[in-house]
Amino acid sequence: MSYEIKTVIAQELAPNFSNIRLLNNGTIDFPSSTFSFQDQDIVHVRYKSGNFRKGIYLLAAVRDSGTSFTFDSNVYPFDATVLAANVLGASVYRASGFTKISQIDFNVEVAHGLFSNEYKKYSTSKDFTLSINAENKRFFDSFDDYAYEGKMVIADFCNDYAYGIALRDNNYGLIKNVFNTKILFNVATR
Amino acid sequence: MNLSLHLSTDNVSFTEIDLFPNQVLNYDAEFYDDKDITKVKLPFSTDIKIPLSSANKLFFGYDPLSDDVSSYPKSDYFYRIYIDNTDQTELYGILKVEEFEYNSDEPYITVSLKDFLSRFMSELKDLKIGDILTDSFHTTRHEISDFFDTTANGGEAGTIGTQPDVNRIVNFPYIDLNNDVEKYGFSKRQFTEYGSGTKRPGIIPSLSVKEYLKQIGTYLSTSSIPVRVKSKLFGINETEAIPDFESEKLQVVLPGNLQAKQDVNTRKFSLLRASRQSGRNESLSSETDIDGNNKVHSTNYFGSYASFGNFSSTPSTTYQKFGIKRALNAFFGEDTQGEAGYFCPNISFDGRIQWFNGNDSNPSGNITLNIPTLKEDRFVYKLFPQNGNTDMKFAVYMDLYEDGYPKKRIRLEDSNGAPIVLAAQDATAVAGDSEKSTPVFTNALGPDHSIKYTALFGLLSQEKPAILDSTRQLDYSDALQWSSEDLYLPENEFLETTFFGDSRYGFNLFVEPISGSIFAETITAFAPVNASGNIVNNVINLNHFRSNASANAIYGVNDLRKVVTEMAGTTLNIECKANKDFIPYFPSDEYIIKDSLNNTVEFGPQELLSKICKRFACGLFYEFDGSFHNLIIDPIHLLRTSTVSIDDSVDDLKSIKIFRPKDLYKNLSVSNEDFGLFFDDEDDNGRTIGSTIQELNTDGVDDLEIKLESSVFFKSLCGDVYFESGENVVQGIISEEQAGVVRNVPPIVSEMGTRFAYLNPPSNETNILVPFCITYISRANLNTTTQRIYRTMFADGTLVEQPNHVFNGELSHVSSAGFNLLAEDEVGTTTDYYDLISSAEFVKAKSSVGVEFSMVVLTHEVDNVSFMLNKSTLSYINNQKVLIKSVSGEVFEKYTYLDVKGIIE
Repeated sequence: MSYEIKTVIAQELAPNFSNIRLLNNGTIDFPSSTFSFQDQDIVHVRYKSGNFRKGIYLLAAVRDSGTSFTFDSNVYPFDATVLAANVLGASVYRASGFTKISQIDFNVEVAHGLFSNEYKKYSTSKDFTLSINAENKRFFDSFDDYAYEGKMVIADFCNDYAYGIALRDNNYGLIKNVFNTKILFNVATR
Repeated sequence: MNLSLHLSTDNVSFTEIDLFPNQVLNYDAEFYDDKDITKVKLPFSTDIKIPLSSANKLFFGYDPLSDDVSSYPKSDYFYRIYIDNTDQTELYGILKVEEFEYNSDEPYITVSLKDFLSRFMSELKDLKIGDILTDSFHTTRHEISDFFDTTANGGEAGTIGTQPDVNRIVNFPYIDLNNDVEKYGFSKRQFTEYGSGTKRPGIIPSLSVKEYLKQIGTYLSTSSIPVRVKSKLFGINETEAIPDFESEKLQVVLPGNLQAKQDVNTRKFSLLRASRQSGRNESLSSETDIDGNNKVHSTNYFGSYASFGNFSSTPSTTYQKFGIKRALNAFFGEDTQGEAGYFCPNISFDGRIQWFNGNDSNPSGNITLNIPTLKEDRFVYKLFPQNGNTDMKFAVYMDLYEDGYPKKRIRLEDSNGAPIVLAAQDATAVAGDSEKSTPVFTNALGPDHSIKYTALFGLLSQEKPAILDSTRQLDYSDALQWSSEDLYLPENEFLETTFFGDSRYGFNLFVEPISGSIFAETITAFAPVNASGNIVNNVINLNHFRSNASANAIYGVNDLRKVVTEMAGTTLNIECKANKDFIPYFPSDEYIIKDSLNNTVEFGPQELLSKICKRFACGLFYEFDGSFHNLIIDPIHLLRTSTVSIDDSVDDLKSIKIFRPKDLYKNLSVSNEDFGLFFDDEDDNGRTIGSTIQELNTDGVDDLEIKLESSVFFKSLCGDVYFESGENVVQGIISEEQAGVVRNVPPIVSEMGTRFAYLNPPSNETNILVPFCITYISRANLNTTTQRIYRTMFADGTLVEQPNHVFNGELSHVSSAGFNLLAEDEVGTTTDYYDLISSAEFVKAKSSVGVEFSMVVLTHEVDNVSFMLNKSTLSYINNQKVLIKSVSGEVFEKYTYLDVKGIIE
């Protein structure tokens, strides 16, 4: 598998995306967009469901037949009932270069709150994390750019998924400026 | 947990706030606090931390790194929390920004989330008692004559034998203030002012507890926050829980009074200044000094007292609209104590002193300060104001006199607000007006201006005039004269005072030394001479004394013992005028009920609410029912009407704890507050009327004391027994009835306390009496200068008397259905009121077994108070009923996990 971390080039393009539609087939439509998507663009669509803000990270695929978008519905449950008026906007993240990663580990933590001898459940929480191998990556002059970025996204070109991510640890074990452990990320779920 | 927090400043337009990932929401609720009702936390209270993000800083309008701290968000915000569960639970309330913590890895803002109760209390906190009365009847003017009309016609009078309208918020029932009912057998009379002073008025308001509580809800309500009060005890938007309680008749008597507006029939009187007046004027008439040595001379110049009063070139004594005016054409009065005229107001009022013409200042005209003698016997020949040894300074004062004694001293100021200082060096030395040239005891200004000389002639003292010898008569200068100064009165606070009915008022305006020295030449010896001016050596030929020796010396401030001020100004008269609302007197006076309450009652709605809650064991609870924000005022035990099983909710993975009462009390003591009035403790046994002590637990040790911050109306609000009737009554010059003799002292209104009572129909008419001052004009043989009597209220001008008034009800401590507000009746039996108090849950909690356990409830159940009001049963404690006292825990979307504390009923 091949994964790539992309650095951030964010463009707020809400005016052009004012009538984004979430489609029943799990994709997204930008019917009146004049924006020129490029292949491997990552799109973060933000919308409102009731009183709650939600979001989806999508990966663009530009082909001769047209542009399509795909996303991981396990992390970003699809809500086809959202009206176009409730779409708050979208941002496009276009990589200026790729960092190839040989392996990415996706992890799901599910926690249950239980009470009574019946073990009745009163809470469930689901957190997504992912980790990447250090692969002798250097921190300074290389990775520290990510550490200070306001926004990080990751694209999985094997599954054609994209995720918003945030570094999980504050303390990176380094040996001679090289990571000696996995690098952990929280996965944004909206 | 997926939740969102939305904030608003107007409860209409909300903005979503940034939260931390996986935001935790704790839940904390407490049912009652028997110490302070404002500490009740229902249905929800907690603190949370939110990120110090750009969006949050923008919403609150404050960035601690870049903004001035004056921008710190101190106001309340309305919040809504949406919890993403299947019930779509919403929590409402008030958010306060508690603190910003930054310069850290994860800067945050701590905010506290509270229910609307805290906002309601905050809105009521600084209000005055009448502020919530927003309808026009309470905020517009009425004439006192309208007051005597029936309530049905917009007045305040009742109808004999008819229950007063129970829907009125404010009432003016008959309230016995001096034990008259016991004296006369009925409410024969009511004085508008008892005794003398604005603090003892006669028309006292009461509030309908039920209607006032309802009005609190109306006042708090806005279009975006519709509020209403609910109460089972008081029958407000609920069925009354205790029918005998008759909440609609329950009143609370306020320590306040009806007032008339100060701009109609404004109480005032003027005082005219005499051209010469003295402030410092010691007696120098003795022939020996304080050590018994013979003086060079003595003098009775300008008497021996400060001179003050009310001057007129045409002496008169007249009855005026507001009192008796006596004006004299004299520098000091008929007696020897300096009072030359006065004004004696009929009724007391709070007011201020001002120049009669209303100007901020008036010109003094030339100011001449007579200094006829220095020390005790230094007959002044010449003052030397420009001498190098002279640096004396003087101030200009006004003294207001009351009953012959100085009441208030005012120092006059210049146009910059600085006290006026007259320097001797700026003055010209001139001849004063005492007689120093002609050997007579009188001069053109009258006998008060002579100098009398007394010396030993052989062994005999002789009263003969003393004058300057002929070489000095033409150039003596024993007075300082300054040119005109504009005399400004100081700020209001220095001019304000209470003018008491039946007191005499006069004033003076004078100059006094305040520092420094003055150089002067004074006569040190006189020679006895005959009419021809030749020295004599026998008494028979002695005609007068003539100066024959002098000396120069420096004199200090204390050496000026007798100084007389003359001012040439003609606009230096004053007016004493009401500047606050006052006690009603004339039928044409006007009143505004709201203003009367606000001016005279020293506490506001929040404190009254606290007194009501304390007296009737009520708690305050909040609940939003989808339409109204309900402010629930009730004893908790009246609200616990449902019983539910919580077996399915209890977390039996955890232990359940049952424990003995933490405070096992032996007795329950319920005490009304003793305000020091006669019937508060009539038999002087240390127990206030209506208080009781009853046993709770034989095994208890200490007593549970409930000290109510109020009391109950019982018979009369009179003070101690009073035996005095006055000199003129004793001698039969006026009658007891005319003098308004009372059996007991009426109370000072602010000290008579807050009292609860039932409003019953009035049973008779009452004569409304006003104070009226008389003098020798109407009673020639009075033994006092003036005498205050009481007469039926009368119309100004026509003197038409006001017919008797039917007060809008009479007060009693027992309702017509028999509910007794005393905890213990006159024979020592406990009452329905005691049953109410002893049933209160916070009383029961003291002797009940406690319980602690954990449970899980649906989150949407804890967004209102109903869940906590249930009596809960669980099989783990034999299905006995648990009364929840407090809970705390964490919200997990659909469910909330709670640690519960309660008592077992």
